[in-house]
Amino acid sequence: MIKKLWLIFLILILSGFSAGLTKDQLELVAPGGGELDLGRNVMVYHGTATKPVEVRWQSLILNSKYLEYNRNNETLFAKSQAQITQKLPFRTLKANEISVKLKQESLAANGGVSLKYDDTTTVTCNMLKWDQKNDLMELSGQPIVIYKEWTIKGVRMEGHPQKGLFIVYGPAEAANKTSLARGGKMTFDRDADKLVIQENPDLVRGKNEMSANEIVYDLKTNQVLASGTVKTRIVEETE
Amino acid sequence: MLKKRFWLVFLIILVSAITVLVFWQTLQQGISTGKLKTTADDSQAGLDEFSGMKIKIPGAEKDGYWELTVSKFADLSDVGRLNKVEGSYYRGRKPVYLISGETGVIYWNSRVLELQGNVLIKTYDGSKKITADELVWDPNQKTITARHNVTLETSNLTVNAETFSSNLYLNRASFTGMTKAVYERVDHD
Repeated sequence: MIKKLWLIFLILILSGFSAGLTKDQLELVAPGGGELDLGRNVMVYHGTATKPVEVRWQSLILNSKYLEYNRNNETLFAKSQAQITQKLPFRTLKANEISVKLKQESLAANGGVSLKYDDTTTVTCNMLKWDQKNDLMELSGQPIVIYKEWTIKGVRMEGHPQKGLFIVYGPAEAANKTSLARGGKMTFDRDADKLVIQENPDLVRGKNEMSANEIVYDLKTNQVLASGTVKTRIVEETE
Repeated sequence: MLKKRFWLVFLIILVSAITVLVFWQTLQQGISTGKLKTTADDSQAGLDEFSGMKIKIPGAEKDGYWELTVSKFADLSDVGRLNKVEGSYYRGRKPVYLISGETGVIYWNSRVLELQGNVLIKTYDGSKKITADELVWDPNQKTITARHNVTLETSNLTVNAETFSSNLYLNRASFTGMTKAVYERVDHD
């Protein structure tokens, strides 16, 4: 009988714990106060000149001078020096405006977008959409990836942050002080430290120019692997 | 004969004197029972004080009014001072808010109600609750203002701020000063 009671007690405790786990908390601090429309379920919060509004939920922190929270559709809209910080792995996203859909786990950033992916990788663009649930990021408006001394540009980009992949749609270009790579499509694999250039790839290194069906550039060792019909030529300097 | 007349006159005078005396005493007693209880410190002229009473105060709306129970009520010419206030606000004879506070002031001319000390105002259905150190119900501005250690609690939301100001329906409000809010998000998955 006592054993049964303990079992029931344990089940109750575990149910309560799991119920607590399913409830998220959204904590907000607004140094400049705010306004509530409890009828429409919309709240607006303000920061001050020196202290922004700060919102924390799960492992994310959102800062901005102005924040709107619509509780009906669970969306956050931040503007004026908006920044979202992910704790693990540590990443920061800055923009003029950031909208977050909490239920869908997605966000959009507009205007002066800058994503610090890790210590050596930064992504900039004018518009970014990030579906965190499906690990899909879409960047447009002059997207640029800066990786160490490399600058990778394209017309639009697709990112898969969890896999460390950025796909650049071109005409795409990757350049450092000594090399220039061009192609219709480039795949930057951050984890593997490789750049795969496709769709009429072209690589100029010093005086050597190479074209092939596909070029794989090892960014760590600077070794190049070309496949398909490979053509090379030496670029003459004209006086 | 003369003796008889003397005694008669004496008797009439005596009875008259007693009658006048009794009349005078009765008059004095009547005046003193008609007076209200006044405080020993009568520096505030015209101060009336009552203990344990119910007050009905007209509100801002046409059919709105306060029904307050106070442990002590002091009535000056333009204000009423309240102690241990507890009561309800009615709208169309239905209770809408419950309110309480340690002390309070009601301004008779403007009908502004101020409460201080562990102030609580909450909707009758319990959906919204505000606690603060001070609260002002202004029927002319149609606002409720709470100051110092303000906490607003609604469904799944708790807000702490320095100052809170709302309309009389508690559905549109603003906070000033450092504001902290905690929302409970229920997982809908």
